[in-house]
Amino acid sequence: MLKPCADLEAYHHRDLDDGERASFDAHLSGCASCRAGLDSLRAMDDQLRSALSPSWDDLSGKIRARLEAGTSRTTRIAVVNPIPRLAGLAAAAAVLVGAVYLLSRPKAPAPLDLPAPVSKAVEPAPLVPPPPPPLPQPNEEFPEPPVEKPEPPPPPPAPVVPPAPPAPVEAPRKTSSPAKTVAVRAHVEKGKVYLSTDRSMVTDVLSGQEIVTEGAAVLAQTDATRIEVGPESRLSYPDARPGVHLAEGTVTIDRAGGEETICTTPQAEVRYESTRLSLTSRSGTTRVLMAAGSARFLNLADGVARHLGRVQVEEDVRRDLEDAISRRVGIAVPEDRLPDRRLLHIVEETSLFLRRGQEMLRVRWRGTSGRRPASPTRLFPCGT
Amino acid sequence: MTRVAALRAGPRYSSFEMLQQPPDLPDDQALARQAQSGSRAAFDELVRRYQKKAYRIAFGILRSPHDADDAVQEVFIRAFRYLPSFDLARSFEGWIMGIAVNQARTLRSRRRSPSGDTARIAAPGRPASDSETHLAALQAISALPEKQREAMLLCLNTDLTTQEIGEILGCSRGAAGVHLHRARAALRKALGPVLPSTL
Repeated sequence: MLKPCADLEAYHHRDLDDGERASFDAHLSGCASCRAGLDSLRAMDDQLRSALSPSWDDLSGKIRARLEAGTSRTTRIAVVNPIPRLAGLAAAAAVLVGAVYLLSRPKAPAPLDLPAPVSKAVEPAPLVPPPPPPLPQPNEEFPEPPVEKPEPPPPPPAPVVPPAPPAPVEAPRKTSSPAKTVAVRAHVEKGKVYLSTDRSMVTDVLSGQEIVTEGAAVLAQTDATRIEVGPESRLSYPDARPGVHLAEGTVTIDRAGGEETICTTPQAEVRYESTRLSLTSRSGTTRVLMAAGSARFLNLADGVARHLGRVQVEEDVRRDLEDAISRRVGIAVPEDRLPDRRLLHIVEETSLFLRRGQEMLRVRWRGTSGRRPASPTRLFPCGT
Repeated sequence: MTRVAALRAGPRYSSFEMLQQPPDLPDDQALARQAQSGSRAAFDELVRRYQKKAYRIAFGILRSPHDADDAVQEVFIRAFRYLPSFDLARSFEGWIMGIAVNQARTLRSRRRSPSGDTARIAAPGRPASDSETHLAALQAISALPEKQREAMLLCLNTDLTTQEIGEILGCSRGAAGVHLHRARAALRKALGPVLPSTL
């Protein structure tokens, strides 16, 4: 039962439903005390609004300029569920192993089209060279979140496709612009299904825009470049030039030769011809580990270029902390593009604070599965 | 439209906005839909509509014009970036104000020593007595506990319901109402000498 005089603030705060509001309106006409109280509340708000009103400049121009300066419209980041998935995921991974895609990249940005299946292809794709010995892995910057560890995942399922290289060559595809065609394929090695582990799944391929991984994946390009993409990575193929852009994550590039290729990150640009290198971009930092060949490393922040030789060289570039934050907030992946919606967490809240001189980013996640904590919190160290 | 007519037009519009916004403009959801489809003009219109409100929220939390300026730019950069994930069934104002509150909080924690000294905040162009009122109001609202302050800022500067304010603050509708009630009581007590006619 509505108590009109007691609900004056609720009325003023737009906290009543239509029926209650109509009832209160009727009450107001006959209650001088409520009318006076309401007038007082409105006057108080007007006074406060006026007193607190800061001098203010129109920011439209600045915002428009920043957007036109190249703010990316890529919005999707798949977030790894740290809990290994069991039978359902294994089955999904097994299905993915058989999936091979050819991405025909349109000249104009196309809206969220899934890649065309390879069954339509006509032109043979190059075989994937045997995988080289693994590079030294860069340090894991992001610690595992403090969640309970379930039982270990079951052994990988029997591969759906023949396991040993050379992997089955998919039916090729005729394209008018071969330079813009890249084959993305699941990798099978020594009877082991590369994508079948609990954390491995190519979750989302945005046509012509961005590839997002939850787990490791292998991209076998038509120019005989082999790119291992690490977990939680985002990369895309720029239209204007050969090479890839690594927005976040890790790639290991193995390239036997050919023309100069450029791999970029938000902070750096790496040019190489024949090389084997690992490139990591996380938390506003780019790190290069050279295993073979040479490369030219350009720090985009100061324009300084360095030549990286055969020996392992590390180069870090630090960028504004804001970039590290902006890549992790407000993230969402359309549920209909996820193989398993229970894999998804959505960032709910972020905050930045200082702990023992180290800037830390606290992220609270909203779980989508009722079996996990509702809002687990995870800490990320920012920068190097 | 007179002020009284504007106030009676409905709970979703404050008198401030109703007096400024012509009735035949497309609503927020239509603009958001167009912006999601790639219309920069629609997004610009949303910026035009909400930048001032976002600025007031950010300023109330950060208490620095420069920080508020930075925060508002970042709010709309992020809104643009994450616009595809915006649910058109929700209130755009609630969504953008949620980003504004979060961004202001983030910036405040990044600054580590928020500009809490309200005496340093200039009030250019204001008469002396007005400036005194401005500083007193700033100090009073700065002295509120965080949730009360944010609830009051959202209530004063937006058309959000208590339910929507609660969603932004991460509390229930009832709790948001309590925050508002306590904030009002504290402001009455603190600002009585400065704004006696209304408080």
